Amino acid sequence: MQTEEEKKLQMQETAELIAAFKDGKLESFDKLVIMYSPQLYRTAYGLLGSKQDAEEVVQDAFVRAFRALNNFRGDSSFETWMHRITVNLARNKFHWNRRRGEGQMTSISHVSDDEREQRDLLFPDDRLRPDFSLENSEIEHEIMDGLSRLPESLRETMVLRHLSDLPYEKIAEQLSCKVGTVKSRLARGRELLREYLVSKEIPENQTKRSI
Amino acid sequence: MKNNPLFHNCPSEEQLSEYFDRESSLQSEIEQHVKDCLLCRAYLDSLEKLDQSMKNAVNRSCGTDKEIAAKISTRVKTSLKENNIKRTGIFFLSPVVWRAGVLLVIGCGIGFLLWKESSQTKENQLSQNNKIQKSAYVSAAFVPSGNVSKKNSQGDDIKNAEIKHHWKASKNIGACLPNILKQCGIPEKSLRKTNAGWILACKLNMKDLNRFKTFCLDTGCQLIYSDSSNINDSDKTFDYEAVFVE
Ligand SMILES: [Zn+2]
Repeated sequence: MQTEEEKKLQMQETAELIAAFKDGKLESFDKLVIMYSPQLYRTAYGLLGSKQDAEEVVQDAFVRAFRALNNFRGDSSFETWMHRITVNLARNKFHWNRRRGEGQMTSISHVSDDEREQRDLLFPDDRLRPDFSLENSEIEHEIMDGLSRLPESLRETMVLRHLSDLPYEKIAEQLSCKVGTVKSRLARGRELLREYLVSKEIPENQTKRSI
Repeated sequence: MKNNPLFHNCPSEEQLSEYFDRESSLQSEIEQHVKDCLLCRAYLDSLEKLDQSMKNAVNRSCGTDKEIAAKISTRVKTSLKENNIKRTGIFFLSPVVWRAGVLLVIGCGIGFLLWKESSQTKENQLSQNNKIQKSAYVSAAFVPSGNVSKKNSQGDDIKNAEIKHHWKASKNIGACLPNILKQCGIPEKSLRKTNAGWILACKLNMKDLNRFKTFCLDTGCQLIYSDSSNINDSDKTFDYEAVFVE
């Protein structure tokens, strides 16, 4: 995670590179790619769960940015702008994959009222529920699967927070929602993921809910 | 903070989630609580585990920043290069140049259309003239254009002139014709000027026609077409039509 000072320096450098690009120094665009691609790539990977798809999406996002950078007025930061392009392209890709039958899976958000009621009686507070105790390597394997099963709005919010390290305000700007919505989506997304990981420890026939 | 009877004033999960992200307006208060609450600490630990697991999972698959940057940079360069070749660079010009280019193309298009239109008009005019000239050369049934009188000096209709002459006009024929007409007893109003040249439509006898012919030849006109029907009687008046093409 970057410090405030590092962020300030990066923003300054970004502004200089954009100005140089607008002056016709097209090679400065490559520096922007090097500076921002790791973060954007991780975001895309978190949203799509595939390296191939993430590479395609980030490449496409930069090509679009290259074409539109002369018109970029800086109303939002370059980082926010690039994230918005990437998230939109990843969303399209995700839906496209779904339509083609790839990545079809059961959502972890659809818990029936009966199941919820039963669970809430057993564990009136989330903190009382058993925590996941998988090995780290197992968690890392399962967590991406769980992430891909979250509803789109929760998945995007979770990825922008955990993998892109964006503050609430930026996430709200990206996803065109209120900061309050970001807060509740994060709390809900985290809870669903925790539940999913716990369910992975219990044999299928003993789980109280379908995955 | 939510007053939860079970957990003695514990913050809600959402408040803890905000605290974890350092975005809570109650950051210092929650911090105080968490210090003494094992349950809340355990919850925050699991959030930390979740966050780290996600980051680790992605980093393990994606590689280091340097590796990612190198891979994406190569892909972007290749893609831009390919696009550049495919689009012959036009979309990669600055928007100002691009727009100016579009305007230029539109301007040239309009200019070309206007030029084509005007040349078409000219062509039409020329072809109209050519048609008149051509028909003057070849058509035995040449009928002058609408603004030419179809009546002779006496007011009789000249539908099908019995004798038609088509002349290649001399340079000064316009100035000479009134005098020639006078010499041959042909009323001046029988003569009309058109775009194609001079047109004369009148009634004449053979003797006057011969005089007229001689005068015209004298001024330098050339008779290029002659259609004289079977007229044997030299005293008889007949419908005469002469076209002088410049
Ligand atoms: Zn507590």
